[in-house]
Parts: sequence; structure tokens; C-alpha cells
Amino acid sequence: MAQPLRFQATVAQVTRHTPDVVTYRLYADRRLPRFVPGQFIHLTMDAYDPAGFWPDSRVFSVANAVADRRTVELTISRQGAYTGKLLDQLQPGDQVWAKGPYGDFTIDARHGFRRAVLIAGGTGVTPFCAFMDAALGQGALPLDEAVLHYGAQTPELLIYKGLAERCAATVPGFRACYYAEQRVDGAAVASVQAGRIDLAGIMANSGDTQDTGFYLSGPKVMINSFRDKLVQDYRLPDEQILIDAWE
Amino acid sequence: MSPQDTLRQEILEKVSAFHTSRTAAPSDFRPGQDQVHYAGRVHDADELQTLVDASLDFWLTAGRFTDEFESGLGEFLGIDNVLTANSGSSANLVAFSTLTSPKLGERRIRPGDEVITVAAGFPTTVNPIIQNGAIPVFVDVQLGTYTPTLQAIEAAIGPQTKAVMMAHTMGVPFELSELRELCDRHQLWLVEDNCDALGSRYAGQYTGTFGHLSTVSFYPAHHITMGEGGAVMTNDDELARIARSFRDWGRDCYCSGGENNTCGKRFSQQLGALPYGYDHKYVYSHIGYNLKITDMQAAIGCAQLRKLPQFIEARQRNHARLAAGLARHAGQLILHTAPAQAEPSWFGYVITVRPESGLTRAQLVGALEGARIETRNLFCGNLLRHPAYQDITHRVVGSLANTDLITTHTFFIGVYPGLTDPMIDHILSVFDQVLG
Repeated sequence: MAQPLRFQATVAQVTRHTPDVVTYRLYADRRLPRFVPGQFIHLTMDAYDPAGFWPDSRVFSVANAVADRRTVELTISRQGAYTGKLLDQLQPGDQVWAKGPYGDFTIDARHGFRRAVLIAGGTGVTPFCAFMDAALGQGALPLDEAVLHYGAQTPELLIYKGLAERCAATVPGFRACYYAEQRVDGAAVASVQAGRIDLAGIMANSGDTQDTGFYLSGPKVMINSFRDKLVQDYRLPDEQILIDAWE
Repeated sequence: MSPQDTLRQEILEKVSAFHTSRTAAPSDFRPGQDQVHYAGRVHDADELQTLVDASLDFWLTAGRFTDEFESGLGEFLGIDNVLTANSGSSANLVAFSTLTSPKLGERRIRPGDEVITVAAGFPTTVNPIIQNGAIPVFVDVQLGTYTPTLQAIEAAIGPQTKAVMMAHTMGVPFELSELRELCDRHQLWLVEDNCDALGSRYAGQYTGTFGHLSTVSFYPAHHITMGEGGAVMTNDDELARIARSFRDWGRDCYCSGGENNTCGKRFSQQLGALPYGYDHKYVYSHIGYNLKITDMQAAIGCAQLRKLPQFIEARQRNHARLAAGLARHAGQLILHTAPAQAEPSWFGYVITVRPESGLTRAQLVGALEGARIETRNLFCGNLLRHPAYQDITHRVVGSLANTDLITTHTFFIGVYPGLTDPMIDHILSVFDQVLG
């Protein structure tokens, strides 16, 4: 993990996917440390005096590769009062404080896996977006193979499906499968499987899982359920299961 | 502006006025009467103001100025991770200890493993090797550059060799690109002790950015200062995290002072044989130290960093003037040189009195000191001749003939930015008087 840094950033762009899911593009006031896909930052809306204590903040996975060492993208869903305030108040041109990068939910060679199964529920896809953004930039994966399983309540909420499709089309070794819980009709969503992410199907198609890391990101209940099944039903050791979860 | 901000501004203006009053009338240099130092702190009101600014914050431990200094130095050198430490020697200890981490698996340095280094230098380049139970393997250096040849290093590599850890002595880079390639070929760690060489380049790239880890010192004699201070630098994020752990008591948690739960898993991890959820702030993954700096030190460093380019230029200019003036004495003195691809940010001007010259070091140094020109030996000379090192386990490859000659015939004079042209004229005139 690179040395984390506290930095001020300007909200450069706001994309409202739905009233409850918004992507913010932040532009930092200084060159940032190197981010590894999967890492997160702390973001605060409160005033911060760098000579004082860090204020109340929340943790968000970074959704881009931060390749220019300045631009950070966050996709935030309404979860409670703090994220609600963020979604309702944060506007282009606003100044915010953040610090990071943090975390070892990193999708790269350092964990020793040759393959990665990336399981994302809803906006839990954001750490994998950083991974795809980096792969598109490099034209290659940092490991041999990666398969994204991306689920949401409706096909419209698969907001990063386009990014995943571009990555699958151009980056060797990358594939993506899509799931929507609510009924799917029409050719436009033909590639989206109806129902929840199908762990049994994933495991049936995963072959030998010895060199595979299983990355779980999304609602806590989904993460816990999948982790329990991977450990109990599929006898995977804890070291092969990485979860993107905070207290 | 708040009343506090206004007061702060007034205080800082007073500090600037205080500095101006103290330095208002610099007197002309009087050769033979005024001391010509070999090194020293060079500053203006900026350092005093940032120091007082940090004091008014009263944050005390690493804070906003430390953040600014670490990211600023990293940006200057083009390196990803800069971790400040309370001295260059501490930085060496942290850098070497990092390589002993169990997190590095088979590549970790264990007691009994060998590390190639030199005996002609400063002890705290070698001490961490000994303190961690590894075995220093000494190779000789060349006269003139005071660095070893690549061939000498290669000849010292054995089955137990795990690393090369050496200093860019007096600012002269060793052959870095080639040495890094050699280290990679043999799966060796390379640690650059860059304490004497901040701002030096090799093949156009800053020293301190070639090795797996490097260190720098901010003691007043060095290129920039914060009183006491140093830093560990690396482009490897994993090594950075380990180094930070060793520096910060050995703890697993990476929260800065005054922070809590930046990892978001403070009470929900299973580590070691501790109960599940044991407070991560007090979980230790290494047997570490506390070698951090204060924010007041970093504040001085921030102001010094702004001056670094001009400091480097001044050192190069002063060294070039001495080199030009001393060239006529090359028959009696071995003059200071650097490898072809090196662009040193010199620490000093190193001189070896040729044994065949009929002169002694004592004669020359005596004349210089008598003319109030400070000299220093090339640090410890042959480290193995010092009382503390008589019984250490070590290996020597080849002879240490040049290292021994350095012990008896070598010294250096200053090139630091505080030297003026009249001072350098005075230095050269004393050499001319003694050497003819």
C-alpha cells in the first residue's frame, strides 16, 4: 500500500444514475500516491483544518485507476444519513477533503493468484471498475484470467455494464456475466441472466480453484452469504476469499 | 480571516522581522580569521516561519507538514513512497529491518545471511546488518570515487548473499543501473544509503530511486536539514508498508497519529493468536521501533525542500571551483572524481594525499585547520579497525588496501552552499602555499 495522503479535491463532475446512485469525479489539488485497483479512500464533507483532527468521514472504493494521479471517481449509493447528505448536497465545483489510498482488497499479482473471480452486487462493482479501467489502460490483466459476475436489482442498475463489455471485448483473459433480480425482457438485455448471482453456476464453471482468488464486494448480506458458502460448501480456505467490507 | 488567523499572520511577520534583524549586516569574510566550515545549515526566514507555524498548530507528532514534506520529496525525486524517520541512521535501520520481515517469505534476510557493503564509510550503513544478525561482506573501494567497482561486488556474491547495502559516499553514485541489474540477476535486494547524495543523478535518474529501498539524512551537515531527520524511500508499496510498521513500533495498523480505523477493520480481524476482533491499533506484526519525526522538524524540511534545487547547484558549483583550483596538484593529491554517467550532488570534496608525494595528511590538514578551514576524515576510514568492530562476524573479499589508505591519507573539505567565493579562494590559496 502506497503511503496514504490527505488531499483536497474539487468535484469536477456529477453523474446521477438514479436518485440513489451517483458517480462523482473528483480532481485532487496535488499529485496522489499510486492507487491499486480495489483500494478505497475516506471522504468527508465537513470542514477540515489540516492542523487538527480528521473529521467524520465515510469510506468509498475508488472506481477508476487514478492513472493521471489526480482524478478519482466514486460511485456512491444512498445507505444512510451521511451518504444521503452527500447525494443531496454535493455539487460540481464543491471542495471536499479525502485521504488514501487504503486497503488490501487489491486485484493484482501480490496475493499470488493466477485467476480472479470478481463477484459484485450493485455499487459493490466499484473496486472492480478500477480494475477494468486499469486493464483497459494497460491492454492486459495483471493476472492470467479474471471473470466478473455483476448483479443488480434491474438491468438499468448495471451502470458499469458498458465498461465491463469494453473490457471483455479488448482485454485478453477478461470475461463478464450479468445478473438482474427483476424480470428481464427484450433483446437489449439478452446478455443479462435473470435472478441473483448464481454461485453454484460460477463454481461449476471455475474448474480447479487452487490458484483462484474470490473477490466479494456488495451488500453485507450478499458477502456473508457467499463467503459462508465458499467456505462450507466448496471448502475454500479463507486466504482465497477476499472481501470488500468495512465496519 | 479569523482572529486566530490574524494573530498567526502577525506572529509570522514578526518572526520574519526577527530573522532580518539578525542577518541584516553580513560582514566581509576575513581569510584566516573567520572559520570556513565544512558544512552547516543554510536557511532564511522561511524555515523560521514554518517552524513557528508548526509550533502554533501544536500538533507535535507527524501531521500536515510531514504530509507535505513526504509528498514533496517524493514528487521531486520521482519516487512513490517517502517515510520520514528521526535520522538517516534510523532510516538505514528501518530500511534494513524491512528486509527481515516474514511477510517477504523466502526473500527475507535471516540471521547468518550475507550482505555486501564497504568498510570505508559511515558506521550506520553497516550497523543494521550486524544488529539484525546478518553478516557484512566487505569489498574495497576505488580511490577518487570512494565507491567499489561492479566487479568487486560481483566477486563477493556467494550462496548466502541476500543484499547489497552501500552509501553513495560523499555524493558520488556507484554504478547504479548496472548494479541494479546485477542484483536482479542474483535476486538480491539493493539498498541505497543516499544520505550523502540527495539530488545526485546517475544516467539522468536521481539516486535513491534505483534500489528496492533507499535512505536519506536531514542532519545539518546534509543537503537539506530539519535538525535531526531522515527518510526511507521505495517504489514498492509492500516494502513501504513494512517499513512503516518497523518505524511505528512494529504495529500492523497504519493509522497516522490522531486517526482511528482508517482500514475500516479495526475490530473485525483475526491476527496471530489474538482473540477475534482485538483492537488493530495494538496489533504488532514486527518487532519494531519508534523512529518517527515531529511536525516541527518536517516544517523546517518543507522550507528546505523549496531550496533544494539551488542547494544542489551551489554544491556542484563549489565542487567544480575546487576541482579546477586543485587540478594543478594532481601529482601530489588524488582528486575527487565520479563515474562517467554520474552527476553528483556532492557532499564534500575528498582528497587523498598520494603516499609517494612525501607529504602526510597531518601536514596538509594541519595547514588547513591552522588557516581556520575545517576538514574531516572520510568518516570512519576502515570500519574494521575501530574498537567496536574488532570481533564482529564478517567476510572480506579481496584486500582492503584502498580502504586502509583512506584511513591514513584521506580527508575532505566542504562544498556546502554556505561557502562563498572568497572562502573558496582562501582554501585554494592554502593548498597552493603548502603544495607549491
